Amino acid sequence: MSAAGWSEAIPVKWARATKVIARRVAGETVLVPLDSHASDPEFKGARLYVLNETGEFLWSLLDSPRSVTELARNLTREFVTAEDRAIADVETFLVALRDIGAVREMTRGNGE
Amino acid sequence: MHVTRVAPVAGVAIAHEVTGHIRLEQRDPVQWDGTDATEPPLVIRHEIGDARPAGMQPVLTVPPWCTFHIDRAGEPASLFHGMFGEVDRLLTTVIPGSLYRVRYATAPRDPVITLQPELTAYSFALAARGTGLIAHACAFITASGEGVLCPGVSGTGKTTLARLLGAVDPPLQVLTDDRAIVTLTSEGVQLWGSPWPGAAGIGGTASAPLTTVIFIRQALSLGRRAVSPREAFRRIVNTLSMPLWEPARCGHALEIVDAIVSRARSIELAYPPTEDAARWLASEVESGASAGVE
Repeated sequence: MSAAGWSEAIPVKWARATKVIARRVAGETVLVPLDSHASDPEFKGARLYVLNETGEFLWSLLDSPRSVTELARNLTREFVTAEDRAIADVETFLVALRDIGAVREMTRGNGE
Repeated sequence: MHVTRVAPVAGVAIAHEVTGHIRLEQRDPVQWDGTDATEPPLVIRHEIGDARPAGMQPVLTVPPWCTFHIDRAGEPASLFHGMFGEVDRLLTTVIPGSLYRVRYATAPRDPVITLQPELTAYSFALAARGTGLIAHACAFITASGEGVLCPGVSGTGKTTLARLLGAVDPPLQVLTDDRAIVTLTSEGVQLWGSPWPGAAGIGGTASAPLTTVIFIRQALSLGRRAVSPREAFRRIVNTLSMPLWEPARCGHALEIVDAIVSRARSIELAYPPTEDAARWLASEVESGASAGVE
């Protein structure tokens, strides 16, 4: 993943994975990525992920495909944060969610 | 074919249909008269056949007991590994929510123990119906008729607590020392006992509105603190039979969990394993009911 400031030449878009559950539980957003279980030999029980406030905001934006730039730009509008920091935070968030199977990178080749 | 019936569990009657040279263990682990049959029955069909999970995707191994799979239709299955001289058995979904099949690779030499497939089929059926969850928990009903759930994984003291609560004078109505049923309807969250006890062998047929969740902790002295819904969620979720195989059912299960932690008050009670402490624990629940937990 790369994000060269606000001016990505070919922005890669990110979206929610199809097999991920998101529900509000006790006032928090809980994610259950279902595809990650099959490939995880250490999986012993429910893998649930609770999003913090920033994560909830970004997750709400990912209801449609977004680039890192779009997400970071929205983040700077909603929270007091610098551009560079916002991009770094978004990239960290997306990589973490990709690794648990909650988001997917949409390339031009997959028709999405 | 012959049929063995289990009295209704949380309103769901269970019938084992047995074909071939299969004998079911005659078990009566608890005094279980059953609850009123208010829901469609659950049928578990036992037969000899191919017990290999062909074409299924393994999703969760619980060593040494079983491996959960998802079949081509996205329905759950469980391969129970042959333990203690048993043969491998494959539990599959035939009609989600109402009919499940157990296939034995070869004719079992001894009467088969039905607890595992029965409990698993029941949890599959609850998830398919979207009506409730099985909780790994001790549960009881207070003198004023409130349902109390004490969830915990193995080793947290559920059996000890159930025994102590049964000895309190006047005795509390202990529903189970190991597996409780929690259902969610338009009327609210309801707590039920089950015929699947733990080491204390306690199974109760009553039910009550779930008002309190207690996270028990054995300690040298008595202590109590309120637990927020957020903390309660984190502590209770791994004690519940979450259907992790299917998005809609998992989502609905999370809604049931939300109802539990949002509507019931949650407290942590630390206590030494004595009858006095059990009496105190019960009174703490009652006082919390009347005064509200801080």
